[in-house]
Amino acid sequence: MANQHFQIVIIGAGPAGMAAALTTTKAGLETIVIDDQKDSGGQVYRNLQANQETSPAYLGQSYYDGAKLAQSFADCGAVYRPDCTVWQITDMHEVALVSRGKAELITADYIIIATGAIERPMPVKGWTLPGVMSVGGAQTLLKQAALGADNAVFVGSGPLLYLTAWQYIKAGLAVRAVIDITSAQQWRSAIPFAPLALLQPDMLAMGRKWLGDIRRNTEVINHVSAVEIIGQSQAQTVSCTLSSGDKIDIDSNHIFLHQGVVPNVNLTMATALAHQWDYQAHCWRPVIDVTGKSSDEQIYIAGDGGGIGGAKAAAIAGRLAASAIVARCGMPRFLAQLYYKLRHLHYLSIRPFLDRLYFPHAHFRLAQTDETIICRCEAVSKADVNSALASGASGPNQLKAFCRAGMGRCQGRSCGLVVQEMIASHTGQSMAETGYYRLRPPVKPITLAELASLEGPWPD
Amino acid sequence: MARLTGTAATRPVVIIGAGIQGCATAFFLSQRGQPVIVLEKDHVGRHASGVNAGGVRRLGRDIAEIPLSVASMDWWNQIDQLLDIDEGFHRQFYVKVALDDAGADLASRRIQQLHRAGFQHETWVDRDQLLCRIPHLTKSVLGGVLVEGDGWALPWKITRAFYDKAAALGAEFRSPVTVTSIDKSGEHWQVKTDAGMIETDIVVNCAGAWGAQIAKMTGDILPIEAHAPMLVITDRQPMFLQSVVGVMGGTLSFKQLDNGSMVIGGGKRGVADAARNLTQIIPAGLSSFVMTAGRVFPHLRDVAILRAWAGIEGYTKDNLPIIGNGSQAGIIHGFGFSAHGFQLGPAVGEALADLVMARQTRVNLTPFSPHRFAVSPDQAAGH
Amino acid sequence: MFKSTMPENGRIVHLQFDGEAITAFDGDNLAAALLRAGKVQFRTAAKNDPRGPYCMMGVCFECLVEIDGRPNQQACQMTVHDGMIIQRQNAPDSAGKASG
Repeated sequence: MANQHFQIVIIGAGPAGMAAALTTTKAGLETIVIDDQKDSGGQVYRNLQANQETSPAYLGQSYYDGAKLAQSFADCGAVYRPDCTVWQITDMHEVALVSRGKAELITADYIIIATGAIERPMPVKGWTLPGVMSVGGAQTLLKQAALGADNAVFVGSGPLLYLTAWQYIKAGLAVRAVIDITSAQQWRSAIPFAPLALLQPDMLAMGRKWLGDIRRNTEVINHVSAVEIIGQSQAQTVSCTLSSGDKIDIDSNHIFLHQGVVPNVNLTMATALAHQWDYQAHCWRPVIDVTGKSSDEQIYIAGDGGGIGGAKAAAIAGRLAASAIVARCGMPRFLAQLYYKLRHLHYLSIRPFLDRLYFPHAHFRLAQTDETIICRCEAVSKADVNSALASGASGPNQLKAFCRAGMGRCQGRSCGLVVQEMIASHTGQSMAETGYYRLRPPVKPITLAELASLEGPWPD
Repeated sequence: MARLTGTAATRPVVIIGAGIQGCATAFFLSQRGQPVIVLEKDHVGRHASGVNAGGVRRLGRDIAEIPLSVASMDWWNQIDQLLDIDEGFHRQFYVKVALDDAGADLASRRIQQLHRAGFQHETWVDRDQLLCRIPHLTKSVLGGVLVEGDGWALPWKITRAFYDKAAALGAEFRSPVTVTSIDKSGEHWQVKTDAGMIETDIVVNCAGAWGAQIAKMTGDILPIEAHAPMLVITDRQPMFLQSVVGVMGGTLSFKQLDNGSMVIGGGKRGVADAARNLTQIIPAGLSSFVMTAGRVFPHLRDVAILRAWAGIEGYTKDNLPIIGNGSQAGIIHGFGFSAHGFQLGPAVGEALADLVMARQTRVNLTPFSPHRFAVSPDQAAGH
Repeated sequence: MFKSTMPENGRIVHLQFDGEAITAFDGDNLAAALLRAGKVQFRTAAKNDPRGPYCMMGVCFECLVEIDGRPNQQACQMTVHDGMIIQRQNAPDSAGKASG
């Protein structure tokens, strides 16, 4: 079967991918947008078009701000392939994907990877129990299915946590408690960068509104140094230890965890693009220039996948990368690029403040009890990892071989950063020196029949 | 002439490469009281030795390799005691199935060839016997060539176990250390690395896909090519396979690990960049060998592949390894195993240790002689 | 329990979860439908750990169920259809030991 070819292949139909498509299609470049969800919007604008019909107000204005972009994307003339999973990008710039049980290879002149972010893992004892979800997961249920849980407890820190708790309150759900792990020390380190944050007063005002409504509508517990979730077949109680030493137990079957989001680097790392450790944001990010060009001349990265910046920054980054490509295709876009660069800087101006304020606390970057599961897929505990370290595993890839952490289906998305942290802590090396799992295709599991379908039908 | 003669020498022997060949050599030498220093440019088992398909077989070997393979199997059958590990060798049986007449034909000629050469370990099993032993095989199988007592092991576990035991017996391992040059200094050798220089009488080159580079430093032109055969590992399945299955006329292999995952390998090559330790998976090649897998076990259609990978391996032109003394005294080579060196590891380690101590090797190593690649200086300039 | 935050409407479809009849709305996300029906445990992982959906975006692989006979389906990536038969996924994840 002949491979399809497009001038521009965009992976991800969140704000960055959609915005990029607007620019490339406007310039007349053949564009295809591939996304693994059934509708456009990525995570932040999940189910936006459907929600516009019923318009639940509790989702908040910043959510509906994405409506114009989503509509423009729907109208822009790009080939849009939802429900497709990309599993590899080769060094010949072929994008391998699976759609409805069949594999395809699409070749590209330029690729824009806009695969966004994932939650930073938050390994607390009991976090694998049914009923425990990430805050992002809870928010997706709210957006996608208008489902919320009464008596839920939110644990962690970071804007997404406060936004979701606020959305819960506005939706009329009874939030049992918000356990805030942000420490006073984090406030102190962030305050010097507050002036930069003032460049985006609307963001700060929004944050203050969320925090205010949360304080008025639920119990807020601060200065928490440890959290444990207790239960047998599902979460029953969340037990938190305060820095004073006191313990507070709260009964709940629905515990939502969050300590920030990080770039989803699985596709970019499996594509052997250069990455660097970002000390300010405490995560890996691809090495990109100001337009988003990666270490591969034909591959650009836009949006949270290149560095956390939020939805508005993501859309601008999509525009910026796309304009750079359009310029390389012989249609210079000097003014547009300058404008996008400045807007991008503007939206990112709040990051130094936010990254410090919500810097993941050591107590929660590392698990605190030996029984805590570190690798969820393979049920590898903190004790198991420590045992492998004691046996001489000196890096994440050796550790994989010793104790199977990172060898499961999720390819390290849920454990990679924690394992890296544990190794760095054990060896005394920096996070950058410690490195990360060597990621390989397929970046999502693909069946034998799906893979074979590149050749033909599965033998009977 | 720098040679050890049965007793331990004071200067440690330098072994380059901590894959299975280097670690096994270090193990046997340490057992005999000979100090060794193993220099590894990455970490133990980083390349082919740590990531191969794990087949432990006499089946399907080049006739020239069979004695070495048989000798190695003696070690495999006592690997747990040898290395103080549990369940090191999964002793089962290995069968190469014939999927069509061409395959059956090949099988028949192969068995005749072996019998003529005096080897009885490979036997033909017909379709009914095969389906009885491996019920999930495709019903269109015609039969297969089988060896009882072959099986599989976890390559990283075994390589690491040789390393652990060698270290426990006194072997010194240094990594990451890259050898930059090997120079003659009177009767001795100076092995220069990015972490200093080591003087030694004997250098053992177990540098795998980088073996030719190391050989060149000692004045030996021994051409190998680096390739990266691809493998996949699947999601866990209910246990259905208690043997290793290959295909007659091909290099595909299937095994099922204790936790239910399938390791499927040996079909096609990816792209190898030995200089940068990088490999690339080629989707079309992967698809092709997975399709062949489907011809053997069609019931696996909905099984998910969790990971594909390719390890960097060194191949010689005739697909036989290079094992033997170099052209200069004090240089011994043991590399170029062309994607079938794992099972040979224990016997190769023993043989290299014998060469180091100038003892008669158990197995005749003539077919693996480095001198079979002797080139003139003019030809050498091209390498 | 998860409950709806908007008025429920839509065509009712019938599913089975581990033999138990449950209802959902046409077009529902499967994981959401199961959570609405009060099911939080979707499977057991290695070592008999009970697990349920966690990330709702297809990256954690916790919400694995068997759908109409096909195992290892991520419920959060699936849309319900009338007559869908879903089984909790236990073996062989909780069988066997860690290798290596």
